[in-house]
Amino acid sequence: MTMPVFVFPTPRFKTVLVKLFLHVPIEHKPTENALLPYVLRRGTATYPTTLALTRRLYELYGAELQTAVRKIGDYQTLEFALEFPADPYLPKGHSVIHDAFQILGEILMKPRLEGESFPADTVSQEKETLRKEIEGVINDKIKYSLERCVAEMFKDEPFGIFPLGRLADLPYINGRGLCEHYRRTVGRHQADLYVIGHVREEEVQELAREHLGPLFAEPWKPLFIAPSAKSTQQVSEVVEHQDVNQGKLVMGYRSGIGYGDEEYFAYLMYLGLLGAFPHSKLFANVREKENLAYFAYTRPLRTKGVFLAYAGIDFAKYEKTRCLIEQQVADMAEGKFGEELMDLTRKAYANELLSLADHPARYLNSRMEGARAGRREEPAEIVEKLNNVTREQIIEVAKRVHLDTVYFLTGKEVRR
Amino acid sequence: MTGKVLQYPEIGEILHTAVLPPGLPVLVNRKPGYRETHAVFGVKYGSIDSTFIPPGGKEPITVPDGIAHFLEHQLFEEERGNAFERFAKLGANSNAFTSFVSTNYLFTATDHFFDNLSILVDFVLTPYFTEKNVAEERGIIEQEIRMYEDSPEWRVYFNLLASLYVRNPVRLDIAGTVESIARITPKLLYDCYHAFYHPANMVLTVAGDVDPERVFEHVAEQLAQKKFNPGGKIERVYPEEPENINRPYIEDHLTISRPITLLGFKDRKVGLTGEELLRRELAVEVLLEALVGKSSALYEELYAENLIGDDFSAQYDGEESFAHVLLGGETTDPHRLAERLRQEIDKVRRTGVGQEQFEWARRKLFGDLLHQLNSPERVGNLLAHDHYRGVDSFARFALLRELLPSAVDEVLHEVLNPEFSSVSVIYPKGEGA
Repeated sequence: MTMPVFVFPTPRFKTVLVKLFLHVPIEHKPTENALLPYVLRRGTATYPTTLALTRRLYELYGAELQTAVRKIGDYQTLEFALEFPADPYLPKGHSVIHDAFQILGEILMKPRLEGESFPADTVSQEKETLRKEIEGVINDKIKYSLERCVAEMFKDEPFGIFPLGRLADLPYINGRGLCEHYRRTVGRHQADLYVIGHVREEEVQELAREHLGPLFAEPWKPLFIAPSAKSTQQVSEVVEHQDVNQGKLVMGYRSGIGYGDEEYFAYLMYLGLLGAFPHSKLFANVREKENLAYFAYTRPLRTKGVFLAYAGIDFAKYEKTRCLIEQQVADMAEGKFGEELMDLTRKAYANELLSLADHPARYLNSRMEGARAGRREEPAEIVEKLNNVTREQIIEVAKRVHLDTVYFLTGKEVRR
Repeated sequence: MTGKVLQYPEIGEILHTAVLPPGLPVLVNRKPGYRETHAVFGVKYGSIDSTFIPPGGKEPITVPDGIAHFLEHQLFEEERGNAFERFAKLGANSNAFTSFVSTNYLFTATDHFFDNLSILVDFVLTPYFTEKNVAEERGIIEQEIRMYEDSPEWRVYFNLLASLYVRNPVRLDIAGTVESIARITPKLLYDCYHAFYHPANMVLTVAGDVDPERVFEHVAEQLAQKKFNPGGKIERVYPEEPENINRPYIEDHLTISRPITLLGFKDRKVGLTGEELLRRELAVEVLLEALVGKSSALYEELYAENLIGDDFSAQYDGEESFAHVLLGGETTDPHRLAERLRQEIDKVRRTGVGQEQFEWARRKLFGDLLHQLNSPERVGNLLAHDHYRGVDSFARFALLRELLPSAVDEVLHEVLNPEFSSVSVIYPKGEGA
């Protein structure tokens, strides 16, 4: 059985990037899931302190380990990335890739434990780091507002859970419980390995088998399945008051169109026209024309057939901005967009997509997400499909879009 | 058109350079196989250059602070429309930024590179300032200044610079102040523009899969169709900066959840350019990694004590007219952190940086520098910044290989001297020392 190990050999980059993705269902213990990468990066059986591990990595000519937690569909994707210099740039005879894979394997499967428990101080320090991350989102009012709207729209669904888990869960997590969770999680779920750089396919496959094999025990399955065609009877309105200087308006729209759908490319064009770029309708009208906001964009949640339209505005401009945004959406359904706008949109997407291949991390992320969502097109193919989308197809998509939730973060003691 | 070709086989890079009449240096780093091409067209004119003797002039003139940054905004406004729009029509992503020492206009494109390059060269060399468009831009820049005033990272940084430096203009906000930009007129903009924006005071860098010769020809042709004033030496006048710092400590309050602190060390050895500056920079960067980087014992201790987090960092900013070390981040106890850093510096001043520590740090820096080369954007920007300082960007790798622990110990003594250091803290509102 082939492992989900995808290798992109290229001489273009000076470094090799290895990315391991673990997809863990978000509903059960999201906070423990989020904490795992933070704790696992802190030491292994062979390198039991972070200092020892870091020094070993730096010995490998500055190899860099990075971890992240993202939410994709109903999963938390735990990322472990290792980047190191490619052979041609190392002193003659030196090579880092074997050691790199060995260390990555240890990080995932031979963590530093005390019996069947993660070390208490490591766990408490990383709980603190995770706390800061979560609070960081709370303090970033744009990010916070977007998350709140999603939480409202998906109130009783896994997707409504915050990707880093819950602050309230932290006090209940200890080294022992986390270790139990680790045993039940790593190697028990879907995993992907993506590698790009100056490497040989066979060598990477062999190293993956040798050092990471047990992670791929589960048979491969697509993960980011088509969104439900949930329809809304009534628009949900949520207002929150905080001590802020600027209001954040987030409007959640449902399209029902996801990665796997025929209309997917028409949908991307739709989003490009409406709000993905500075030339799009939202930016052009809400900011440039009416000066209501410094930023106004759409953000797609591609695994769920939903997008958010958001802007930062003065509190008193809520009604006006909301109406203006709804007008742009209505205009799209009536075909009120010109060929020039479509052309700018195609070009902007082309620039974005064709650039992907020049950025190792972004490229691997997008290939992984596409593959797990059942789409295997290369960026260049996506550009071609976008270019073939017609006005009529975009209008058809626009007619399926309807408003689900309006979230507004506003100041204290204010009437809108 | 032939220029020079510099080879760096160790890192697999080639740099093509040429000087195009009437004096524009052009640097092209070809990156085969890349779809993106990044170009930077910059001028050696930054926020510190508010007093100068223009070419052919006799007396120094002083202009209000913030003109370099104002020009950065203003140049995008054209007689008909806006340069951003022109780039967008060709699917390119454009931007600009002003630093203490330079102003840089740039774009990244995956298609129509030469058409976009024409736009870049054209709009930067075509000033168009009117009372109306200057007044409009002034309003936007005012908002920008106010936005930065609210940023804790910006505030802790500029408060520190104002504490390290007594008179050097690096202590002033790059955009100026609301008051200083109120005094900027179209005439002042034109005067400064004509003094500094001459090709001999500028640079063009390109990184991506392009034919360097074609770039040289294309730009040479474009320049040949423009009229330039004769140019000449610009005499920059900087106030005399004493060795001592201004004040050892500064504190401020903002609406944030945790205190932020930044510790600074003034490097009294200034006036360096070229290889000398690059060697110093590399030595200090290795020093900082060895001392407070993730491979240092101190980092692990501070992290365990919750005195630092993942955002903790250290850097060296070295230019011809100023240089300093900055280190810090979010912390639960700014004074304790500053104390611990000082103690460690004291200790290492006595023991020196060990061989092992040095080697880990050097390899880490090597990995970081190598990683940077992957990105056309980072390379293009690096080439420009280094050009203003007379630095050969890709020489870093050979110099890093040659670096010795003794050089690192030397800069440790020269630069990390507590007598010439300052601490800046931002506390959450309601908290204090």
